[in-house]
Amino acid sequence: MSIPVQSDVSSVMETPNVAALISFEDLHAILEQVWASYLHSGDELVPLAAAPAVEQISASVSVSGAFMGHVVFATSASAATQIAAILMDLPPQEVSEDDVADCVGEMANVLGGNLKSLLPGPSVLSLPIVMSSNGGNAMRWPDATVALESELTWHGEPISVTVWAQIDPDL
Amino acid sequence: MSVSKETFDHVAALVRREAAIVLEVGKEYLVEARLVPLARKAGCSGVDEYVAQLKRINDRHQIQQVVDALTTNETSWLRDSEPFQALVSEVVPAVMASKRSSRTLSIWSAACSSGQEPYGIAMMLDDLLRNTGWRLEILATDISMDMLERAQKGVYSQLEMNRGLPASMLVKYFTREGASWKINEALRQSITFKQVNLAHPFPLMPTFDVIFLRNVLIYFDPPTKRSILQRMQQVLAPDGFLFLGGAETTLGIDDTWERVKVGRSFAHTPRLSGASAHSARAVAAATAPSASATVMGKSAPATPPASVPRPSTGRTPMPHLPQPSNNSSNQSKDSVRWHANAPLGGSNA
Amino acid sequence: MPDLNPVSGLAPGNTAAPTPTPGPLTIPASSALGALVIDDSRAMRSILKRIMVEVGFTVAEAGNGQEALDVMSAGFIPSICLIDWNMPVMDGLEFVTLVRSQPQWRGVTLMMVTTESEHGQIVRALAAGAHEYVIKPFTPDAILDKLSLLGLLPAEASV
Repeated sequence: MSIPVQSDVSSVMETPNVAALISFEDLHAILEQVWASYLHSGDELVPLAAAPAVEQISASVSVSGAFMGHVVFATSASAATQIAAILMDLPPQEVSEDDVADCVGEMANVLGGNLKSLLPGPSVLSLPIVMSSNGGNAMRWPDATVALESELTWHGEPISVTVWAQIDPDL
Repeated sequence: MSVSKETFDHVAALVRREAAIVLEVGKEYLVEARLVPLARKAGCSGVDEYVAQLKRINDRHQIQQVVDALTTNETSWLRDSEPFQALVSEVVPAVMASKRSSRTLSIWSAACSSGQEPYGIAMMLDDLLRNTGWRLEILATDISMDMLERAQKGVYSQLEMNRGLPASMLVKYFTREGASWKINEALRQSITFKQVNLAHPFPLMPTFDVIFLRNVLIYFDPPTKRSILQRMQQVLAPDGFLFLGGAETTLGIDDTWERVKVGRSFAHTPRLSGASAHSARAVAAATAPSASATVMGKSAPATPPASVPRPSTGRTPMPHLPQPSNNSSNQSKDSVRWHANAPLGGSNA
Repeated sequence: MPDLNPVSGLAPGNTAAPTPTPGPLTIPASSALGALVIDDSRAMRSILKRIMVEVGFTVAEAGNGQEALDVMSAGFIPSICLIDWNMPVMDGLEFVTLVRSQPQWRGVTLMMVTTESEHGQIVRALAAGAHEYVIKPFTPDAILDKLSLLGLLPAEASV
């Protein structure tokens, strides 16, 4: 199983070793459970990166406390619409932008809460923020680096989960 | 969102034919919930379309998947909780009253699958037996070594933890292990895991006070069912209890059993000639408030297994599971006591 | 720099989902049990509502704890509340604490349905007065199992 990991993590600044706390098996187990429970297709999630989407939807939740960082869930606009259609039990053509934002935000919330439980605590989870972008990395956090990233494919569309860790300015 | 009557009737007939299990009208939601994943996998827009396709193609593999989806309940902890309630409220107190000398309670979980049943029994009895000087011995067996290894590890995914495990038991008996949960070590140690094929002669075994053989017999043909039930009687104490699945019966298979009501559940006890070793216990069960003993004897009409009337729980709260501790009505004292025993500080919020 | 284009923030006061406001409410017929689904995500409310309606509940929705209190104050006293933890305005834990402090709502069963999944968080919620706890993600069966444990499943749901 080849899992692409973003390799541009800054080696100068010290960040918590997230990869030691959250294994890819844990991350994938959580993703599979979310897919199996809500999208009825846990076994259709393939742990290989898909071609980047032209239009991407990202949702982020922040973790603040003993661990400071962000969990970002990103996918293509097309997959986000499919997800919203299944969650809201609507035909895809009836899914609104608000529905998509709500559903992608809820995916980030569920993933964020489950990942938070594997990180040092106590900490609190923020409400989700949802963004869409035309190409490129949709979401960046200042003073934080990517500590863990997993890219997957669902029905040919890209799915990714990224954990950003805040760089501690005191280190 | 609900399934059509045609779909429901077809699925109900299928499950009855294939697994002798009756899906009563009103279980449409269950057909929907269980078959949606199969429908999606098959590329159908919904369960109605999927079942219509199933009718046309009549594919053995798909039929089996549908039957499995509707009859497989092994991942739930205490959802069908009546036997566990009866164990705590009536069966174990009766055993403790009758065999004071040995002070050992011996229970066999005869098809333990991934372990939810034996661990569920151990959790239910933990408080009851604490500081009584009684020892609990649980034998958990399964035909599958894979299942036994899983069960013995006592590690469960979040999805498995969500299935019918009371939250108060989760916090009391489990700790996080990565993305999974692990059962308390003392509880794990109280259970012996062993591979047993029920269709073959049993290995050397102790005499059990209680045997759980729930939703297993359906997988065997009638002669094997009879043989299993007869061999069960050889390892069950004369005044012991056998719990079958809610829709299962010994009727028409092996007539050496008596069906007795215990709590809101039914158990089977060895039928003895002359004075029944059981009469005392059966009477004790019969005198429970609002429950008269229902003994399905030889005179009862021979009914197919699945149509035996099951105790209806309706909306009555279970006495020993954590109920809302301050419901205004129909609240038993037992549930309050259960709550009081829960390991919750109450002030650390 | 990519073209960043905020679609929606789900923060307080921002794109508040259309939830039933505490206006005229239908009190469920005595034969139907009421359920109040409290979650800031419309998708999550929709999933939970479908499950509860399937087993015969009359369902009302609220987007946060304060809206839920408003719905209950207006006369919809549910048999069970399904409660998210992280919500704007009033979170689920605060809602549970408040409901538990009101004697007239003693009969209401409170079930958390949340992504908060640390052992300590479950302990906190139970100590605050929640009766049950479901961790997201959940399957419909997980909700039905809990309803069965709580004695709130109208029809026996096992096969």
